[in-house]
Amino acid sequence: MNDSQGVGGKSLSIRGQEVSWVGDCPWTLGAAFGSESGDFLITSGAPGVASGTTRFESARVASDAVNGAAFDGDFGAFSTRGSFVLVKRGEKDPLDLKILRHRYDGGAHGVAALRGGGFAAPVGPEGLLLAKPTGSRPEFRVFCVQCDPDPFYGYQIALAGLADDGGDVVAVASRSQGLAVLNFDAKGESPQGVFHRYDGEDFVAIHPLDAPSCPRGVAALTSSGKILLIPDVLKSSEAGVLEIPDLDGTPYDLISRRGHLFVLTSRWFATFPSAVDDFVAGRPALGGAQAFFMPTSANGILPAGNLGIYLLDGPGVVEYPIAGLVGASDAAGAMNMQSQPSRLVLVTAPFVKANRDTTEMKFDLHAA
Amino acid sequence: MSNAPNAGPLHPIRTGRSGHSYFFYVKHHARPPSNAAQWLLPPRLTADEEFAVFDLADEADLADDQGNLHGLRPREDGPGGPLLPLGTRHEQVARFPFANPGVAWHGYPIWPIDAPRDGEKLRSVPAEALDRMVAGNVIDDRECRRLKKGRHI
Repeated sequence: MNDSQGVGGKSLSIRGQEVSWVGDCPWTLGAAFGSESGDFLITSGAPGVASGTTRFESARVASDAVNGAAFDGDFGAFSTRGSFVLVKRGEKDPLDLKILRHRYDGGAHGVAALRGGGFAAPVGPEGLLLAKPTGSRPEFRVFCVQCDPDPFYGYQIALAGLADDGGDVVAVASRSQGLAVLNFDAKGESPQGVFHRYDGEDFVAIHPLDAPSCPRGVAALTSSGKILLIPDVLKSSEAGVLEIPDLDGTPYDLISRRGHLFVLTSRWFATFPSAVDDFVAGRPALGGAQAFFMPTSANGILPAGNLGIYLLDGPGVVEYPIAGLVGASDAAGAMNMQSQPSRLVLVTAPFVKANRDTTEMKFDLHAA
Repeated sequence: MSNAPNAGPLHPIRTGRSGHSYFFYVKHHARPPSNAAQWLLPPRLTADEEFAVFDLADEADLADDQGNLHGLRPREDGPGGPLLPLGTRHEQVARFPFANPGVAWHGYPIWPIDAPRDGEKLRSVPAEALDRMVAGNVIDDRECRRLKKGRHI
């Protein structure tokens, strides 16, 4: 592990593996990894952040690149473009994984663990896959939720807090169709929801806003480079829109964490310090905020706990502390970051009001 | 000639490398909604542009282990540059199922993940075809990693 870029970034590579996913693992209280060859890797020994002397142990969960993993008690779910895998870990060895059979024979774009139990995964033309535990665990009931008659494409999801009755709220970026928002009852059943259409926009990434005053807020990224900040995605499609003309390259991903925004394109890893805090507080100063652009070849970004950001770069990973990224203004020159005139455009009024359309969804639930 | 009567019109030009002929399968040129994958229609994607995807796949020999070809839109900027979609659901890669000699080829956009449909598993682009895209300088290493994860490029 090496210091990287001068802001406390630490790069990590795993011998013989190409990392395709990284995230926090409650089973080890440290980072876990997915590989391009379909392995799930954890650090052995003491829990915590991996170091240069860290040893890794692995288990094969799929035959292609892991693009997501989530954990619910002793159960785990892994997604690849070719499969959705449910596992139960052994009592003593977290890598003693028993793969649970189910009937969905397709891939997923990612996976998240629901607070009400089980997992949700965006499964492209099939919509949203739900794997709900039955009363006789370890069995799961796997089914897909699709909108009828206008099917959506489940691409990326964000857990957007809880509905008033305590059920999960899941927001789905569904490419050009808009944002599908589903809420479940406290038992994780009976999905209801709405569909927010933003005419002409193609949503490629979505992330919880992570703002205490907006527990159902999300940030979403469009293929044209717009960032929508939606304070309550279940209640309304009203959004603040950030248009960033300097953020060129193909928009890939975004993360909203601790009041800041982080965006990855094919050219830049961009940090927008306090952008979410300013938006939530209604501070007009947002329009004058600074953004820090770092040239990158990363292929993805993921949250590292509550304090960091992972960049998947080549076969390895670089972990940046959020504090280092947002405090980078002093070090911008030294670390090859570019502090640019932000030219952020904040629209606090409803997003393109004339072209916004929210409809109630009619659901088609079918067994996978 | 086409694979089936009235399956679709034949393109007047053959591919530059192998001399494959190509027809525009009407099944994949319908107006949505449709269960079948759909090419974008003009002006977003013209017939010549669709054929260019096939021609590139043949030129760079972007084949999988079954002989199916896979292509994407040619990019002036090369790998890493903006890549326009070619399907109505923002698909960026197309599959051209292997056709026997003398039989016209056809193609359709494919999803970035495998999808179950009518008892079949509709597969995304195989890894070996992606590796050939990298070797042929059609995509770069980062784009290959993203496509292998089912992400857009």
